[in-house]
Amino acid sequence: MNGPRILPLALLGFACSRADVVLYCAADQEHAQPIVRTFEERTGLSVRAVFDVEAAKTVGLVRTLLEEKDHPRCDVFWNNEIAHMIRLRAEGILAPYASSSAAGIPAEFRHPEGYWTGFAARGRVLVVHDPSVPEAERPRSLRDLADPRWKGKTAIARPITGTTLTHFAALFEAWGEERARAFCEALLGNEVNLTSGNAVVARKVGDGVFAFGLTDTDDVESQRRNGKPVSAVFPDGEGAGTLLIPNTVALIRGGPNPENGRRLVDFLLSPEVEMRLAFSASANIPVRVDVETPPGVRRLGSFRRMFVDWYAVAGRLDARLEEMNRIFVR
Amino acid sequence: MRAIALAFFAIAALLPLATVLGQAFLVEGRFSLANFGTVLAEARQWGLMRNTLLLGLGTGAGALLLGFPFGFLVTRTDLPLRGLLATLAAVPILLPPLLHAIAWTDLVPIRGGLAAVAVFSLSTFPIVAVFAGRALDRVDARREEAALLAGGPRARARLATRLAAPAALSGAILALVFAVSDFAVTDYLSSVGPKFNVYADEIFTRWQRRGSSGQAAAAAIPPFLLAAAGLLAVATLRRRRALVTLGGDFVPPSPVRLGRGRGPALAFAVLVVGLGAIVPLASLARTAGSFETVRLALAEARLDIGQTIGSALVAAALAAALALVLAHAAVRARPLAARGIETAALLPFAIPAVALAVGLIRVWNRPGAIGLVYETRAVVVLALLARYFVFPFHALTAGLAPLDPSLEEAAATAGVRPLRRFLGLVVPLARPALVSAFLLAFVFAVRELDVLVLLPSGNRSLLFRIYNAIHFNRPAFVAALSLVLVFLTVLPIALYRLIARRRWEVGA
Repeated sequence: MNGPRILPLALLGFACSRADVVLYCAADQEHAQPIVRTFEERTGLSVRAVFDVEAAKTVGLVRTLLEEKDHPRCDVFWNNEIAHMIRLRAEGILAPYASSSAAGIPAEFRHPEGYWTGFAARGRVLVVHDPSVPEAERPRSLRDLADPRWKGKTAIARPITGTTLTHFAALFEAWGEERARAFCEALLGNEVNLTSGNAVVARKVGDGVFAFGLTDTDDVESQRRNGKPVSAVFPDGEGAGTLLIPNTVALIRGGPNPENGRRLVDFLLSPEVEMRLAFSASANIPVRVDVETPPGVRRLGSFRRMFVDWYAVAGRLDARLEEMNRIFVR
Repeated sequence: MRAIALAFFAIAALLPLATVLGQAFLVEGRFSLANFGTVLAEARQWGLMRNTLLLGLGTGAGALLLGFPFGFLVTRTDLPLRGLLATLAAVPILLPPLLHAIAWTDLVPIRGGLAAVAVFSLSTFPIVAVFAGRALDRVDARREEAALLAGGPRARARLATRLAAPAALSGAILALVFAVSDFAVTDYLSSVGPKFNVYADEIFTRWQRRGSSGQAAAAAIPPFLLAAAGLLAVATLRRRRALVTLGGDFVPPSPVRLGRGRGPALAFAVLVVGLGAIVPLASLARTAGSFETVRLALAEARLDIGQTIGSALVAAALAAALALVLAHAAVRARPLAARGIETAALLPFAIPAVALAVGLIRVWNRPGAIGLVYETRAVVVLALLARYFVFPFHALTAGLAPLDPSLEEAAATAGVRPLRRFLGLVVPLARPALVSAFLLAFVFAVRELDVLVLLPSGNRSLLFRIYNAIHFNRPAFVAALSLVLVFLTVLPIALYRLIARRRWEVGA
């Protein structure tokens, strides 16, 4: 009898319902969702998790946070890299929070005033199709992507979003502009295949379409778990080293639910979450040395790392994006 | 009531449109043409223009080539299985174009611009088929007989083609608009290799990656003008009754006997339906593998499914109710006012969906109570309403136009108040069209991605989940969720047809 009256109210309620805490998450939905669900189950708080699309990985949510600067809707930003987080700090988007969960995290992965904290890193590695690449010919360096032996047989994601943009921006800082620019041109000259994301690189290598490509460790693990004959090469072990990009988490200044936001940050930075991410299909590399890892996941110290000035990378990120667009998206 | 409805529509749909168009002419809050200068100065703009035109015109031509003969065969001939084929031909338009692309790339390694044209042509040909079929079915038998006597079968075919051409062309223009507005398909089909850049993708890039709403808006102007010109042409054809040849003493045409042509004609029709409906569905089912995969996908994405259905239901109900009021206003208004309402109804559909989303963000991302709309799914409902309002509106204008106004006039003379007249007379008489309008809005809302992709609150939709899962190498999960989405769009249409038929049988 009351149906016709109740229904519009129910629909209005559906349209206008709100959550206890809002999380913007640039980490892959497939990996982050179970973590968020655990937090909800343990705390009884509802989380509205907003994810990026692959076509605008990381930069999409950063853009949204900038757009919402004057009236924030988000409480916590879980970023899948670090350079944009530094940029957000400079824009005044983040609030300091020294989480007690961050105690065991090395200082190099934490902002000194607590504006952001790194955890659960990924390596920027070469994914190799084992049947196509004999052991003796395995690539060892990023420069192998520009080796004429592999002309047209390799792939990278277009370096305009996500960790590939961050990686290329880091190369400009580490190698210097001239050398990095020459590397970009050499990649194009070697007919490296450009894809829409790192997962596509790994998938196409897994299918044997390409011999090897540049991607993230989690994408290699995803292929492995699907039974694809691939392996990860941590490049430049005898040179500049492999770039490690941590996930980062931060509290948003003026977010609508700061207390719940802090609880979520505490949870995300806990050793338990790092361990779960290491054991998950994401196969993240813990930034804590005492977190347990499965056999296939490398630990800090087991490979040579490439060190970059992340603040310099972040400071020139916009200019690098423009340059990458000019070079790779014509 | 009309004033309230008009005000609501203006705020929900026209304000975001005006806002995003206005952004193109603003730099730091002041009038400027600098955004156009920046956007148009880049050499790649010509490539964007060429690709967008290739995609739009190619899709229009493809939909016409497939849809016109198909529509003719299933409505005007003695083609075997034409009822079944006509029913199956509804499936391609119910499938989001992205699912066509996913299904086809699972089978063959297609990519780039031509692949996008093929996907959109197969997805949109039913629009041309329905429009052309309805027009061909309304060619008066006496005119056909006269043409047959004067010039034989060729003259009859020429007459039918000439009379149905405006309708078919209108369908092709709608196909063009769907294609130039879409960002996800071209992005997906460019996942490897050279990018097939189109304006819809450029808007997304300018906003998301480069952070410029002014440049995003400037990039939206060319496809908006193209689509708006096309849609206004369709509206003009509608107004001139070029799409309807039904007269008061109409004599229905007799079926055209195909004779020895039945075999090839059946092969063509089966091929078209096969490519547009059966192959994609079979491909998705093959990739999904088993019901267990579908069950697991349902469990994993239940939140996304629930929010998709909920948002689509609210948006469709709101769109149908609003469209009823405005369609009634349009059919009872003077020609100039009617034209104004019609134009206002179609313009939000002409702007690429991602640009409309930029407008919605700019309107609703504000402090205080207004910001509640942006923060909650209310903005999703408004986005879906604005994007697809034109379809329920046209379904209802078509449904209300034949109703005699004398009943309402008599009630008005008797002193019945406008609201009671509307609820007591117009709503019951418009009920079949109202149901069609609701279903149209619901189906388009369920399969939407582009307008939601920029809205944080639109993040939990089924197609968004599918779009993201593509990248995680979970083809079975993607295919299973795609089948769920197909089920959600086909089920209400099938139920409606079943109920409507049963009612008709009981009534008979």
